[in-house]
Amino acid sequence: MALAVVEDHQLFREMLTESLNAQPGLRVVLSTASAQQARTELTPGAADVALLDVDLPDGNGVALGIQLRRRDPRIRVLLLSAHNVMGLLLDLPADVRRGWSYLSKASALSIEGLTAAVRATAEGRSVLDPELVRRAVPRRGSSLSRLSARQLEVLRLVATGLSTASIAELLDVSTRSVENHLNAVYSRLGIEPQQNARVAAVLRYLEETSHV
Amino acid sequence: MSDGGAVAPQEARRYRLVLTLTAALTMLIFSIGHALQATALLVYDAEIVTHARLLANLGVIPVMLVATWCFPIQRMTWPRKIATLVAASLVTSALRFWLQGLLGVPRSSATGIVWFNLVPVEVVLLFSVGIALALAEYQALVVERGREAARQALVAATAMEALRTEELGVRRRVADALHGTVQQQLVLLAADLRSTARKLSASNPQASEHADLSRISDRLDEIRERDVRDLSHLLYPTGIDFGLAQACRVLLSRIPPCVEVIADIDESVLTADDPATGGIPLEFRLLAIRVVEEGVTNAVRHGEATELRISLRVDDDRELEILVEDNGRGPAKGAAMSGLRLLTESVSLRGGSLGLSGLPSGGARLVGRLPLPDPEE
Repeated sequence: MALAVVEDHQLFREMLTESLNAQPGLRVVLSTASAQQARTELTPGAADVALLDVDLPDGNGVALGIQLRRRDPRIRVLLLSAHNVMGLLLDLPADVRRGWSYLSKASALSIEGLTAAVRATAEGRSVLDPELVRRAVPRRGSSLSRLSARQLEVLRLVATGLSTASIAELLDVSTRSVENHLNAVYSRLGIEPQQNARVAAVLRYLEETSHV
Repeated sequence: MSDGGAVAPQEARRYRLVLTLTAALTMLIFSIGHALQATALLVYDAEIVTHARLLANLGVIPVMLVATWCFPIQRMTWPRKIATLVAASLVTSALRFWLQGLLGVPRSSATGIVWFNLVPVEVVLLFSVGIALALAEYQALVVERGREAARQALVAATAMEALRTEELGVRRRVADALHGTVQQQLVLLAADLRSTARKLSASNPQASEHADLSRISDRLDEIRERDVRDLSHLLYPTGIDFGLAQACRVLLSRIPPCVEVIADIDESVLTADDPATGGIPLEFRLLAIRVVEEGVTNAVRHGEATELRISLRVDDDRELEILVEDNGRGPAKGAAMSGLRLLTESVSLRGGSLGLSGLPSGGARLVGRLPLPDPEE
């Protein structure tokens, strides 16, 4: 899997690149601090996942991500930020809304967690920072507050990028059971059960929770 | 100014005009007056011809005016100004004497009469030109003062702008440091304390100190998560660099979950935010966020609201409309309004308006309108 790392904190970028390269099946094809360079060198097909810092000296990671995804709809974007600006995912243009993940640089994330997030993103799942997901509380009066505790838990695990199988394993239930829960979640949130349903559910989780 | 410095051409022209016209007018009045007066003194000279006398008076006025128009009087130093005008008046008065003779005004040989003819005339000329000079100098001074005031205003405005930019820069840096370095230090410190607590509890299960250490590390976490983060948001709203919509979402996500929030951030705001179409200038974003913050803080903290309705939209005239409604106790009278007053002034300064009113259901309604500058500016 080809990865691109666009991050302006040099030490962080170098450590990230090195750690990712050490993982089996992952290869960093571009490591730069410049949005301009990324724009030039990431031609369609050059990378599968782009890890982009939201705050770049010569640009904005989100704008860069939108451009990359428009040029190559197969590329996935993983946003990194020191601040909690996960809400950026809510205002993405409709044509590029799928295929985005967000990790916080302030969270204590291990290399295993990061690798899992990268792989999940590559597989098309929207991954939100697990720490931020854990701290998010559903808002009173929102559609999220209509979910049962179990349904909310399943949605949280979906939001952290786990596959159905992984969730089933974690909760010690069958995958069928997990899928039923998910369908119930979609129905209570008023989301049509189709291809983008997971992403829509995750974005709803983002929108209707409080991060005090 | 009489310091010999450079003067703009249209100002020099105005000076000359005022000087010459005033001199002309005063001399005209005196000429007519003097001619009439001389006629009234028939008793001294039985054969005075009024018309000739008047003609002589009027005839030499242009001589004086040549001096006021053609000489660069404004740029001269005061001694020279006075010397020039006195010389001009002497020449004029001599010419008048000669012209009177030419026009057939009878001249008495008595020295007294001659002086009577010359001296008052000289005084009159000096007086006329003196008034003209005073008027011209005064208007030049007024113009200079006006220019100076404008210069000062520009300097002040530039300095204010530089100060504002500097302040924003400092705020951002401090907020980043608080959010980054300080938070990280606190995370490490808390982790350190917890690990020490664990070791203590493992080696000496009877001791109660490890509970104290855990408590301290919890308190550190609390400080980090609430106080430090809140402070950094206060200094520089998180997400503001990405746009108004994003800063708003961050703000809304920090409202406690016990408050129901219905937010409507219209498409028009995202369009206005888009850097490709110009974006909303930072100072307008900051002002708009402050308005939302004011509404939310009043509702949640002072009004004890459990429901918040927030709406942002940009209409066709590029005016941003901000609406914050709540179901709390409604607007309070008195001291709580001072923060709102400052904000209202800031908004008015930019051509907008801010109004707080009570809702019939009991809550408060904050409406802010802010005209956004055109993208080209």
